[in-house]
Amino acid sequence: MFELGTLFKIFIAVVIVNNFILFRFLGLCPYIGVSKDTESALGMGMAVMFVMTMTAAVTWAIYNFLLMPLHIEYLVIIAFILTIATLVQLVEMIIQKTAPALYDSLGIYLPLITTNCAVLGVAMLNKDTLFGESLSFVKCIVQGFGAGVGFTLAMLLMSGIRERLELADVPACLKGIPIAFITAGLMAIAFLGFSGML
Amino acid sequence: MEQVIIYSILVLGVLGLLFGLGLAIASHIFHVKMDERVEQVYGALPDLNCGACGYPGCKKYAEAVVNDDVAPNLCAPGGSDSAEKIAQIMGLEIDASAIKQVAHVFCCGGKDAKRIYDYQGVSDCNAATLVAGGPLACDYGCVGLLSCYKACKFDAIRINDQGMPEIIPEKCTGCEACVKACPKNIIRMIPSDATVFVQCNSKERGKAVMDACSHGCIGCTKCVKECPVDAIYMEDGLAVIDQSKCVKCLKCIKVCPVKVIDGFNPRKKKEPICQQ
Repeated sequence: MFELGTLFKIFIAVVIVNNFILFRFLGLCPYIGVSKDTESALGMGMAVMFVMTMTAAVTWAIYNFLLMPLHIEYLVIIAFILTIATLVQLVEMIIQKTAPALYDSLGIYLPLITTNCAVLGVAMLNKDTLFGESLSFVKCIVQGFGAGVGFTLAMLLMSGIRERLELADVPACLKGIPIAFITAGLMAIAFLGFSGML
Repeated sequence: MEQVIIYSILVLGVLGLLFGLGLAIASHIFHVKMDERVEQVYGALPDLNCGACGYPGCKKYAEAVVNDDVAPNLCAPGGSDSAEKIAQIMGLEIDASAIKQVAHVFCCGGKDAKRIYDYQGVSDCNAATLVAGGPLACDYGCVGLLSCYKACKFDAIRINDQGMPEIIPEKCTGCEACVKACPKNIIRMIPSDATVFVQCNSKERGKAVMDACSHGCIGCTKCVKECPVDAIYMEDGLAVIDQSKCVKCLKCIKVCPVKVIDGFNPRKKKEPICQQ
């Protein structure tokens, strides 16, 4: 029961309080680039959620069974990037073969996140905060999944706002990306309000 | 120290090798057979992704042509060239002699159309139309907020000196994006070789048309009587030209009392006015 509470806390923390985009400012390029309409934002969010969860599991294994026993922890970044890139490629192939419908909706976003910093961020954050704790594997997966949910949440909010911004009377010099960045900043400030929650 | 170096090299080398091999094997196992005709058909398309064919993009249309036996002549921008090439790839016979369709704006009200209020909301025709049918006294006229201009992906719409959108037939690909964007249904498709148009869309009676706009068809039927080949007929109080019968004698233009019939079109020779 106690562990379940901790897991829930980790999940809420990573979705809302320490949201990857709005609190840690990771993964800003898809956040600005793919948030023009809700549909593609959702597709991107789903793909990221999927990859982040997988990454959390695989990097946990790589770190615990390979890097730590051999005392070469300083290689984490390069090893994780290698792992994530391979993993995404593999996942893409498997989806293309087994679930063409899913591939049609996620396919174009998967290559975009091979080297996304938010995905690497999940692995590094897991390594820094959760490795070595009891049940760390489950916690890592929850944190990875939660980070994906938080990412999707931020993407959906942003795309909804930007769809409305298209019709708004924005000064010419701020049209497009500039107003998107201002909006992102305001959203980040709003999300700061959650920081006392946990 | 040496141990760390050796382990690092070993681990990364082995990891890289394993991942590489794994991916190579996986790509073999999960190889998806692609019909090579899809690529060929895709190559014959203009790759503009305009959506005129009804598919989300040129790639999807190419797949549909190959896999689902969809007709090869749905690509409006590609026209008969694309259709012929695709038919050749697919081994089909098609009649590619059909004349290309282009969009045309059937309104010439512009600044002369009377306004019943001053619209200051969102700069979009659909939004303006929601407010009491738009700011114009004429229910059928162009609001002039350029939703069609924004919808056109091919720079085929320019703004004339009347503030009206005008379609450049040479650039128009026939994707109908502007037709869908216009809330008043003023933009319609015409054969690209058509040259004479009744530039009005109003189905009101003569008096109401004259009250609302100085460039409106009042339904006087003079052109109908003048036309030597009976190409003009009346429909809901509006003169309509049957382009398949029109012989381009331009007599109707001379006889029209309100000058809404326009040949192709002295105004178009002027320099386009840039919206920005």
